[in-house]
Amino acid sequence: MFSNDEVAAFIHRNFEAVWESVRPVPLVQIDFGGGTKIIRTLHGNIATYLCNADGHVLDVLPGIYTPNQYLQSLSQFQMLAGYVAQRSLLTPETRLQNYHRAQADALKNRQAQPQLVRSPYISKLAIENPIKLVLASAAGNPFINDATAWSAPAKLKLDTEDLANWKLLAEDTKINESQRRRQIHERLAGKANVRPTDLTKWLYREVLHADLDDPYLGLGSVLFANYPFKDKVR
Amino acid sequence: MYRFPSLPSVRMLAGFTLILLAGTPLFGQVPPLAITKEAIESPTKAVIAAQSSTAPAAQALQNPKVQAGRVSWHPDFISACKAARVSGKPVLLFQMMGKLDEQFC
Repeated sequence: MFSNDEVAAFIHRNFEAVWESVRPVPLVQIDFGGGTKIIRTLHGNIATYLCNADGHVLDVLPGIYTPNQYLQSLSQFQMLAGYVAQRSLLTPETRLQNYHRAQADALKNRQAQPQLVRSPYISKLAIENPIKLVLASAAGNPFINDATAWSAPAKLKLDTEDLANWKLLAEDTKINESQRRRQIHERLAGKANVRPTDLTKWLYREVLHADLDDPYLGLGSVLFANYPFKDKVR
Repeated sequence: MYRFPSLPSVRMLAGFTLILLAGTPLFGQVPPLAITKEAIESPTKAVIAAQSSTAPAAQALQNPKVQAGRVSWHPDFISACKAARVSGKPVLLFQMMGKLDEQFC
């Protein structure tokens, strides 16, 4: 994703970026003998936090996204940072919580989600508050309802295996934008001035289903069920 | 008439006797010419080991270092926040299992 030129350029222009590791990723190596080996990661997961300069979380994208959807979400992230910082009768914390409440309610009620847009008007008010939170069109949330949003771009010319992986990625993105984002909106609607460290364990355990405190990341029952030597391994 | 052995003969006989006595197991010493069970088995073991397949020693998984995408990353969250105060841009924190600068992540 970060090797994608468009994504990398957008991040560079609009954010101060940093990455961090929460734990080592499980690695699986299968040795087929005769020098043939494959290595894969297992149950790895990611999260993208938008924070202000004080280190407080404004929003979180859970899991992995298609590059297109990721860019659209980052664009909303960029506008959210500006929206919260705008002059208002409400404090930035209250504006942020109201934003998350509106998003959570829309997802819960399967309604069109509010989108952040730049005001087309040139006025004193628009200059001071250029970013508005408006309801999306009747077509609904493009992330959920637009079938073409999930199609792999034609220019990629994916083979059968890559297309299958793309479909899995698109499916994951849908789940991220519906179920997982709702959990995050509900969490952030209820708390103000949250730091990434306040959210991390909850996020991985409750939203991404990879408990960081579990040495087997929740896979113990799968790995050891019907395994005759489990007592020697554990 | 019986003639006693000559002195040189007696000396030679004594010497042979002493050599024999030195070879006998006195006070736990092993006879130098004794063949032990280990001496018999070691060559056989070596032959079997050389001709048998053995399991390779376990090796740690290799996870080579790679470039962490094309984004310019700050070294840590605090540095990113400091830069954000200067530039006015928000901070984007990418959190993951594993390391972004390793091939398998």
